[in-house]
Amino acid sequence: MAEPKEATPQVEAPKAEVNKTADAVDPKKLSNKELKELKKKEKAAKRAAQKEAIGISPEQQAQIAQQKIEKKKQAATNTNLKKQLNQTLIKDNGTKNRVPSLFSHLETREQRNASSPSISHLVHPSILSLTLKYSSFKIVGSIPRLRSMMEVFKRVIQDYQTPANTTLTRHLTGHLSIQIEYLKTARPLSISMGNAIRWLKQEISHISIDTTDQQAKDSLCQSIDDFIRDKIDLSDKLIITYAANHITNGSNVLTFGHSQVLEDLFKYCVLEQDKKFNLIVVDSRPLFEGKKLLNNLVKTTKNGVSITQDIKITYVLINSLSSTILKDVDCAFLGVHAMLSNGRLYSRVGTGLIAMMCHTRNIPVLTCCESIKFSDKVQLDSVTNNELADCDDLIEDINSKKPPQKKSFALEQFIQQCEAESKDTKTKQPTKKGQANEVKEVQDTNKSPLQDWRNMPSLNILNVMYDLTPPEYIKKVVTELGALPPSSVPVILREYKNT
Amino acid sequence: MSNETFDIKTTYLRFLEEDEDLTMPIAAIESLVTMLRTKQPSTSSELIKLVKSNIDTLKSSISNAISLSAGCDLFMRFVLRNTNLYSDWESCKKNLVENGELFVQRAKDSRNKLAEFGIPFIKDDDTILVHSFSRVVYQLLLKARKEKLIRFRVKVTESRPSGKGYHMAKLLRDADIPVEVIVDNAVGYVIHNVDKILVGAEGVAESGGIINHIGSYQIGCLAKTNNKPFYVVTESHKFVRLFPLAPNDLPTEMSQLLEQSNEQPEDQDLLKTQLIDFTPHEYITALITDLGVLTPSAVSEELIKVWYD
Repeated sequence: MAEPKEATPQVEAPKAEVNKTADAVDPKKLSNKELKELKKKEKAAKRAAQKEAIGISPEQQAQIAQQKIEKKKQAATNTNLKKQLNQTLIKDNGTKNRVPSLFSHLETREQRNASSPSISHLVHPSILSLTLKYSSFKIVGSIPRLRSMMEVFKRVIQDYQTPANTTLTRHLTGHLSIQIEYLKTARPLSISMGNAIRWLKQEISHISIDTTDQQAKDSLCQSIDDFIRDKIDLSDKLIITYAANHITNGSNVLTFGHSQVLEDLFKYCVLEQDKKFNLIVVDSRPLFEGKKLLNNLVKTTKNGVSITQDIKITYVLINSLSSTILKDVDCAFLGVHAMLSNGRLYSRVGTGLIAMMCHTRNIPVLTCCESIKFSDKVQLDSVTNNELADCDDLIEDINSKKPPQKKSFALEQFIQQCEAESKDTKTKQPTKKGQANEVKEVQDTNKSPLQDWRNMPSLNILNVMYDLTPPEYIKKVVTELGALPPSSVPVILREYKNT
Repeated sequence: MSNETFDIKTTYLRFLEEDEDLTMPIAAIESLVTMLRTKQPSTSSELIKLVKSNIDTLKSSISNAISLSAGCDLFMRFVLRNTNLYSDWESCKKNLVENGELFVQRAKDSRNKLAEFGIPFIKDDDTILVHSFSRVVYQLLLKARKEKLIRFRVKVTESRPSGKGYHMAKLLRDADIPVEVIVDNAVGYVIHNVDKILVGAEGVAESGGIINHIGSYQIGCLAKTNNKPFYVVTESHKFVRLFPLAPNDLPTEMSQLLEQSNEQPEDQDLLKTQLIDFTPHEYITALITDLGVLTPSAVSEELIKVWYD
C-alpha cells in the first residue's frame, strides 16, 4: 500500500498552497467546510486506489457508478407509478383544473396523461400511435375503439418475444397489461374493450405450455380475427336485420350522435331494402358526432346518386329538441356505450334527455347494442363513474362550429412552455414596443372573455362524456341474440358468460 | 299413403276440427310430425328443406299465424338440434317422429300442469273477471272448482265481435260455477268489484307482453289504474320470438276470423275489425305457465334458453 500515501500529499499540496496565498493573515486555520472537503477527497482517493489495486480502471469505476444510479431510477419507475404520477408535469393542478366538487373524484385528462412517460419505453410503437388517436378523438365510439385495439394487439402479439426463463402463457399477459396501462392514459377503457381484454387474457391462459411461440401467436391472432368477426361484424349484421323491421316506408326516425351500427342500419334500409324514410339527426356540442353521421350518409351513393334522395335528413341540435320536432316521430334509435345489468343504458351525454323526452311523447325508444357491450356492473347515477373530457372543449372557440381539434397532450405542454418563454422575453424587452403589445392584449380580451377562465376563482367547468338512462324509458334493446326489454339484460349476461 | 296428396293445411285444419281442445301450435306440430311420417325424406338436408317449406306454406295459408308460428319455430328448432345427434339416418328419423309425438303429448299435458300452478291464485269468495274464451283459463277454473272445491264467481266479457264470451259462460255454467256475462263496455263499471283478472293468450312476446283477443289491452289498462292483479294463463309453447312495440306492429291481417267463430257478425262494417291486440308487459302482473309462475321479464330468459342452448 505505497500508492495511497503518495496520493494524499498530492491532493493536499495545492490546497495548502491556496490557503497560504489567500489567507495570509491566518495561514494555519482551515474553515470547517474545507476540512470536510479535504477528508472526503482523501477517502475517495483511498477507495479508488483500493479498486485500482484489484484491477478496475477509473473509467470503469465511473461506469459502474452511473449504472447504479440508473438502476435506482428505473426501479422507481417500475414500482410506484402512482407516486410519479403526482410528481410529473402538473404542479399547478389546484388552479388549473377546477371541476365541481361533486365530480372531483373523476380523473382529469392531465392526471391520466401524467403517468404515461414512465412506462413508454416498454410500450409497442403501434400502441403509442393508437393512444394518440384515442386521445385526439380520431377514433371515437366504443366499437371502432374496440376494433382498432384488437387489430393493434395482433401486431403486438406478433412482435412479442418471450424472454428467457419464462413461458409465453405466463409472460404475455403481463406484457399486454403494460400496453393496456399505457392505452388507458388516452381515455379510460370502454366496457366493450374491458370485456374483450378479459376474453383475450383468458384465451392466452388456455394456451398449452408445449406449443411453440410462433404457433401460439398465430392461433391467438386467428382467434382475435374470429372474435372481431363474431362479436362485431356478424353481430352487427344480425342486429341490423332485426332492427330494420322498425323502419318502414315513410316513417320518421330519430337518432342521436353517431353510432356505427345505426349508421349501417340506415344505409342497409336504403341500399338493400329500398326504403324511403325521414331521419332526424340530433346532435350536441362539443363533439358534433352527428355531423359525422351526416357526412357518411351523404357520401354513400346508390346507383351513383347520394342516398339522401331516399332519406330526408333533418339536423338539429339537442337544444332544439322541442315537441314540434318530436311530433311525428315513430321511433327513436339510440347508440349504446354499455348496458348495465340493472337495465340502465350508459351512453353519450344527452341520451337520457332524449329518452325521457321521447317517453313523455309516447315514442318508443330502441337501442341497438352488441352483446359485447353488456356489463355486469350496477350503477345508479352517472356521477359515480363517468369520464371527464377536456374543459377547454367547452370554453375555447366559442364561435366555432367545428368539433375541437385536439392536439396530443405532449404537444400542448410544449406549446404552453414555448408561450410562457416567449412572454418572458417580451416583458424583458425595452419599453419601445410596449405600446404595440398593449394593443395586442386589448384585441385578445375582445376575442373571448373566458380565455382566462383558469384564473377565475369562482368558475367551475364540467364536461362529462356519458350519462345513464333508467330502464323505464327504454322500450327495447336489440342485440344479436334477439330483442329484449332492458329488464332482461342479466339473462344475456348469464348466457354469455357460459359460452 | 300417397305422397302427392298430402296437404299440410288440410291436415292442420282437420286436426283442429277433430279435437276441440287442441290449440294451434300443437296442431301445427302434430301435422308436421304426420307430414314427416308420410313423406319419408331420405337425407337430412331433404328433411330440413321439407320441414321448412311446409312451415312456410302453413304460415302463409293460415291468416292468424302468431301462435301457429310459435309451434312451427319450436319444431324447426327441435329438428335442427336432433338431426346431428344420431350417427345413422334411420334411427334419427325414427327418433324424430317418436320424439315429435312425445313433444305433442307433453304439450297437451302442459295445460294440466299449469292449472296446478294456478290454483293457489284462486281463493274462496273471489270474483274473477275473464276475457273471452280460453281453454287454459277454463281448465284452471274447472280444476279449482271440481278438485279443490273453491267457491268463486266469474264475470265473462261478451268479447265482440267473436262473441266467444257466451261460449265460455256456457261451459262454466255447466261446470257449476256462478257466471255473469257483461258487455265489453262494462269492464270499467265492474272492475272495482273484481278481485283479479285472468286472460289467456294467443302468443307471448319476448318482452313478456301478450297477444290476445281484442279488448285485452284495455282491460289491462283498467286493471293497472285500479290496482287489480292481471294474470295471464298460458302454455309455454306459445312463447313467440316476436317483440311488437305497438299493436300495429302485429304481423296479422285484418278482417280474418280468429278461429272458427260461432257467430258471424251481422254488421258489414264490423268485418274490418282487428281481432287481436297487444298488451305490453307493464300491465301484466304475472304469467301462469307450465314452467311455473313467471314475471314478464322471465319470458325472454326462457326464450333465450330455448334458442341459444
